[in-house]
Amino acid sequence: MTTGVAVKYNGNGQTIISKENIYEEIAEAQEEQKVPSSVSSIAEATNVIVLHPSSIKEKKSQTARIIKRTFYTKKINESLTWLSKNHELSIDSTHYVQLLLENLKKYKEDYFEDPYSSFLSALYDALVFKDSWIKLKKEHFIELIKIIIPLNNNPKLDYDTVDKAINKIEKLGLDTTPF
Amino acid sequence: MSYSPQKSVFEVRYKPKLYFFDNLYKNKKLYDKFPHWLTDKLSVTLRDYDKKHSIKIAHDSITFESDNYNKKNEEEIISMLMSEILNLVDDGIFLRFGFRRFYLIKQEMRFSDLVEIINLKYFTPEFKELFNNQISDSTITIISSVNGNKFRLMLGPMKKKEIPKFIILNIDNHFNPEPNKRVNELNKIFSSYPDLALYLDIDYFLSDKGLNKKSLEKFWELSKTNIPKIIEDVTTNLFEEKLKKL
Repeated sequence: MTTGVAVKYNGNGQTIISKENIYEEIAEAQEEQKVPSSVSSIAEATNVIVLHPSSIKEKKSQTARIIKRTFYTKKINESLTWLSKNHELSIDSTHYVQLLLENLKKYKEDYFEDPYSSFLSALYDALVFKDSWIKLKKEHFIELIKIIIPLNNNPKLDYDTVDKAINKIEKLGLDTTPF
Repeated sequence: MSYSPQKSVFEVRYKPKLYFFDNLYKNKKLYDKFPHWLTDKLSVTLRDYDKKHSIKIAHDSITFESDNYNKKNEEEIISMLMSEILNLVDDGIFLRFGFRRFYLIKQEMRFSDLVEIINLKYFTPEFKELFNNQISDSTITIISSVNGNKFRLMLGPMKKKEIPKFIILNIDNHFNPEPNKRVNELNKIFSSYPDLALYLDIDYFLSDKGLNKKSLEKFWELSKTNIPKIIEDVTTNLFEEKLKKL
């Protein structure tokens, strides 16, 4: 895992990587085909490797993004778990659906740059449109948990994966594009 | 995952007794473990510049302090300290046992992200709204207990430049007195600090009447398992990345 911490800007919007993390950075840059595979020494690398700051910034924020995502998914999962056991049987469902919707909304508003937000946004729309959550069975909420957890746990979540997950929601009979 | 502390301090406090001074220099077994020493006739400080640890024996306390954690060294010295303590003071006059550790858990994210994660986990939305959701730094302090022993835990995000203000090195007792060597040793430690870390300061203690050597041994055994567990539980919860599948 890269540290990507000690960086120096050269004024042209490019980043020179410090010697401290150079071997990790060389390996990653080679994987991403940003430097020739022949680069192996610090001397070579400090002359050759130049990465754009955005790639460093992206790496640094990824771990944090996943932690924040997991924080909200836990809350979402708590509501879904309750609904998967009690919906259809209890009038308290409205309380848990409200909590669920609040957390879906909060995440998509605060972290819209995360592809996961697109999924939560689609789920939010599908649940609120004509109050379609009322018609759902307990089994639907179990299926939603099965879709959400792997999505949350995916460190390299992209829009293709999100689209596939949205299709799974559609197959449950929820309309994700009602508006 | 177990983390190594950056600094440890193990302290036994006891009632001051005049007879203590008769025993002060009579502990060859313990004193032989340290290559250097210093005394002002009222206390003795045993020093090891290479291992970066020391013991201070005073009229009201004995303190082991280390700026270079090594499990084997720590256990050896504290175990010896416990086996020798009754050669210095009588049993049953103990007032407080304390084991304090400082941790730096390196983080690969931006400072603002770490602050946001801490705020997300520990502050309610209502509390954050009091400050217009603009809390740019924060520290959490709690006092709790486990297995009959109390602990005070402080944690917060920390930048490299802040670390020396919070983890105070015992320069006189742990670093080579020769100026050039001392500067090199200090530089080595300062440069090893992470650019960004989660800082944890735990003071695990037992303060009670009637403490004796047996309770000291029990305290030491419990602290060896409880402190790492508290640190691991807190960090695992704070940095949770994955959820269990159904």
